[in-house]
Amino acid sequence: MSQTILSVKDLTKTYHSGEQLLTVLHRVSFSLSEGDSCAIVGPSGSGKTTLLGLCAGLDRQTSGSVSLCGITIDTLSEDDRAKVRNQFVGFVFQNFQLIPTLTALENVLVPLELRGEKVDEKEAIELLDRVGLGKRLYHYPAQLSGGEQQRVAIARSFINRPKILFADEPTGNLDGETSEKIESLLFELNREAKTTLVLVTHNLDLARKTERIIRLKNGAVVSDSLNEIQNENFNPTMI
Amino acid sequence: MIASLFNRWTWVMAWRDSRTHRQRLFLFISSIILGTAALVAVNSLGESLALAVSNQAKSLLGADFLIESRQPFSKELERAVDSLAKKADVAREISFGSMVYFPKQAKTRLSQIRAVTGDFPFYGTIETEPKSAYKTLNTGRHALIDNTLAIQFGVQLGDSVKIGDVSFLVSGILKEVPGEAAVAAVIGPRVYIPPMYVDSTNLIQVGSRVTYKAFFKLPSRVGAKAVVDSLKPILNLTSATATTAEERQASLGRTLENLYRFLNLVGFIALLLGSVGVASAVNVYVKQKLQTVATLRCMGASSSQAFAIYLIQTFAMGLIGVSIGAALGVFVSAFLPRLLGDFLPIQVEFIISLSAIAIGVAIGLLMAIAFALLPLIAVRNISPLLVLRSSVDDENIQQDRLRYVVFAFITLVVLLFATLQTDNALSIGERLKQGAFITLGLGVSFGLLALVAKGAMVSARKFFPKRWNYVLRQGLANLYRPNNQTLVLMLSLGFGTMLISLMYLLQAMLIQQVELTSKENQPNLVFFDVQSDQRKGVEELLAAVDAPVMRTIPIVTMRIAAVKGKTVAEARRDSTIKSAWLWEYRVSYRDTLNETETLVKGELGKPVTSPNDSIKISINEFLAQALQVELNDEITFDVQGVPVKCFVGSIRKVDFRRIQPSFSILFPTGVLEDAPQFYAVLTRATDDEHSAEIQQAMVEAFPNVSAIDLGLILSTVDSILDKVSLVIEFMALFSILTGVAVLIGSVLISRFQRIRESVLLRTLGAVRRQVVAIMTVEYLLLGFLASLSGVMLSAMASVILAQTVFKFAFVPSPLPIVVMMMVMMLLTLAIGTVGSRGVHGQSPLEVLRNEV
Repeated sequence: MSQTILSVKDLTKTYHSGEQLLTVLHRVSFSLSEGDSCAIVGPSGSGKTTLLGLCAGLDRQTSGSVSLCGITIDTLSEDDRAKVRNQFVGFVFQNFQLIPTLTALENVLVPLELRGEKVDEKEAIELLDRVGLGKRLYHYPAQLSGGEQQRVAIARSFINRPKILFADEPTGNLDGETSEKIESLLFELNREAKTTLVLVTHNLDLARKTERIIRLKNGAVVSDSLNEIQNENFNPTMI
Repeated sequence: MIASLFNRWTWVMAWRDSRTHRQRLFLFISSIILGTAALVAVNSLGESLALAVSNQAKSLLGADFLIESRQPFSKELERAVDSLAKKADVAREISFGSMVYFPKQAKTRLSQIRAVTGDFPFYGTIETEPKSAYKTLNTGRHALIDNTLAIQFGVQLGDSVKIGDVSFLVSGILKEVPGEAAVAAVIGPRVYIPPMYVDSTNLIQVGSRVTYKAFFKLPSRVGAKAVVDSLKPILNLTSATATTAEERQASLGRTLENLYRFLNLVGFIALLLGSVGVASAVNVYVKQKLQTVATLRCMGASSSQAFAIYLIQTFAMGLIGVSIGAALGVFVSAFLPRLLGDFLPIQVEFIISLSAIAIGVAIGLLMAIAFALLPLIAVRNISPLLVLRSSVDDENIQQDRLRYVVFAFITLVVLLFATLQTDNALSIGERLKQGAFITLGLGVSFGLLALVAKGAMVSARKFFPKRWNYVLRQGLANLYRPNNQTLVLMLSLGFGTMLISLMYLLQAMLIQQVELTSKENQPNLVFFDVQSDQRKGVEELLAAVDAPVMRTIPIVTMRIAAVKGKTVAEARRDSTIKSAWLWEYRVSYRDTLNETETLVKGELGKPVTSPNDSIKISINEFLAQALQVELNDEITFDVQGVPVKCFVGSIRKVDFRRIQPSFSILFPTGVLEDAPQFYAVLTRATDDEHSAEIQQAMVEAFPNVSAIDLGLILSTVDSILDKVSLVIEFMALFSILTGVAVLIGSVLISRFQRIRESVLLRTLGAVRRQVVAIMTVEYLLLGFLASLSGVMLSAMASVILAQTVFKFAFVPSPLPIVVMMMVMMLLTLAIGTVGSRGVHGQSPLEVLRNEV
């Protein structure tokens, strides 16, 4: 039986907006095992990004529980959550989120350097080579195209051999052709590393490349199925 | 946190992250360069002063000790001096005030006449032009005149100068006298003449204020203090005083220390302003780093690691900034002695003081880091969620309670610094109180400035001129652009403006006060030392030159013999004597009050008509306090050998600022009419020419009669205030320049934003002229608002000072205020224009493409 990497139970998130209480997520529950891939889809404002943030320990829930690799992160301090992320989590963001003052190689090395371990650049160089940027090691993000920056981000997300990878609209800022390449790269590396993948997207084609699709609407799970749309009323153009 | 600071990765990351921002970071820190420079310069000056005073201690007096008296030495004192002369070198000086007349230039001036016998000065030299003039003074009927007289009247070597009844040849120009500041010559120019001619001048008459001095140089193993102590029994019987070189050194040291502390405080204000600039700039920098920090937190960086990265960057830049400031401070310290030269009675040499550098660097760095911490601590609270949502966390960034701790720390540093600038002769409690007062004053000043600045901006927003044309409106709106530093700029430029305009206004206030004392029909010319047999002649002379005799005031000199039954000798013996008992008093007599006087207690004494009448005198309130007497207390006076018993009949308040003789003691009529006396005669000249004509006629006819005129007082006060203002304005310049540095930094920081704005406007159809005009309006408005805040506060401060301290209604002249504001506006515009070069030439497509 494979290990449970992510376990989410009755996760709820509410915000105060003036005098109103807004429930952004309502009693969301699911779990993912090692190697699983999952897409979280839903219309704008459905709570996808909020859910991703909570699962990755970037935010604190109002109620419910999140467990990453067997560690319940609910009561951990911010610094302890950071340690957990460094140990087990990789990220790929829509806006790439590379540090502009670091070279491609240095960006990839950040997660390892944060561990305080002696860093061997070899692995980072190999990863960058793997993503097709072997000759751009010392270039700054400003010198790279969008697709190239996202590749650096992907290499960075795998350098610490994460147990789980969170990707938030990884191709949201890229054109069609580049998006396809990035998607292929992402899934390929994911398969090789046997990482659990959580992908937030409004792109149904991308969502279908995962094994499982969790659909959110108004903060609640409306469907949680293995790679098919259940609701006949669901219109992809509405996403 | 400490672990993060010593973590290798933190330092490596700090270096890497600063790669594209080093210039910008340096700009942030540049605002503390000048403040640090000011502190280093002033601290170096302090050390130079202390060293100079220590090295030149004996030349402050020109002797090991001196005995000084307003009366000829008593027989006992003369015997003591003669006895000392057997083992010590002795020199004598007699000095008195008198008019000097230059026939060639037809000019007169009240001066201090000095005649010296012996080898004075024993230490130091009297510098003259030519160099030998002082040595050859006694070889003929020569005179050395002060450089101020030579410059003022164009007097040259070989010209003649008439002093009393004797004409002298000007054989030298006096440049420097040991132990005397050059500024003293502005008040009372010095003239040295050979002692053999003093009597011939006929200037020493009844009522003349003559000072008799004896200077001593002791053998090397004999201590001055011991000798002075041995003379105390004799000195106590007279009004003579003794001063040693050490006492003079200590006194001067205290005065110079006060000067140094004041300058230090002004320098510290520049540093404070610069630190405010640092805080604002670091605030902008932190906002630009939000995404980077959020990303690092995502990757696993702790909050203290993220904070440490930026603390290290700030520290490194701060260190570079204060180091440059220290170097600049050393350079400036070479000029400070020259700037203060006129006020210093010693030669101050430039020295490089390592301790001054260390103090300046330490305080500069401490202030920069402390202020930078205010925005920096927000880095600890940046949430990693920011990578997903940009709108998160503004609240957290603002509400970190540690800000209050940092703020309290800054207040403590300021309080400590201010306390250290107070007089170290006071108790710790008193020093802390004064330090707290200074800190509060600084806080209130900054607070008020910020309030005025904020008020101006809020008003501009609230009453936004919707009907103005677009260029003007856009220029105004640019002051509110996101991440603007408008408030900080207004604070730093405004404070510097406030300091300098306050100096101008104070100077104008003091001059105006002197001018006000001479309204129409008030005397503006006083002749004094008029002898009894000259009175009629003086009055006739004045009539002949169309000068009205407004008042003739009799003056009698006397001393106190006893107070409340206790004699001066008894009081000396039981040590209850006060200094006021020993003064020589110049007293007048009348039965009415004049316009400078108001009765506080009692009634003015009635005329004395019979020997049995009590003599009720009137004394001023300060003297009553000094003598510790009340109404009806008895005071016995020694009126030139005749004891006169009196009672305090009234206590008066006297306004001593008026240009007419005022008296601490007034006798009723019927007592002193037959006592030896002299007169002061008050008159009014219609203009400067008339005043010069009257004075010239008087000095020719009555050389011993001296004159004080309002014009002279005004020009003297103006001249001294000019010199004082120059020093303070020099220090205030550090504040202005700090404001300029903050402005330059702000212009350069916002350069990219301006390029974008310029491109967008041009894309939308604006021509270059319009875009430049918008920028011009923005900077002119900034300069206007900054200087307006500063001058408004300085005007308010000067009006309050005038009413509370000087007790008169001061109306600031608008001209200097307007000029100051124009200068600030143009300066701001010039800097903004230079800093924005190239902004309007960028290709729109290039910029927009880079955006995408």
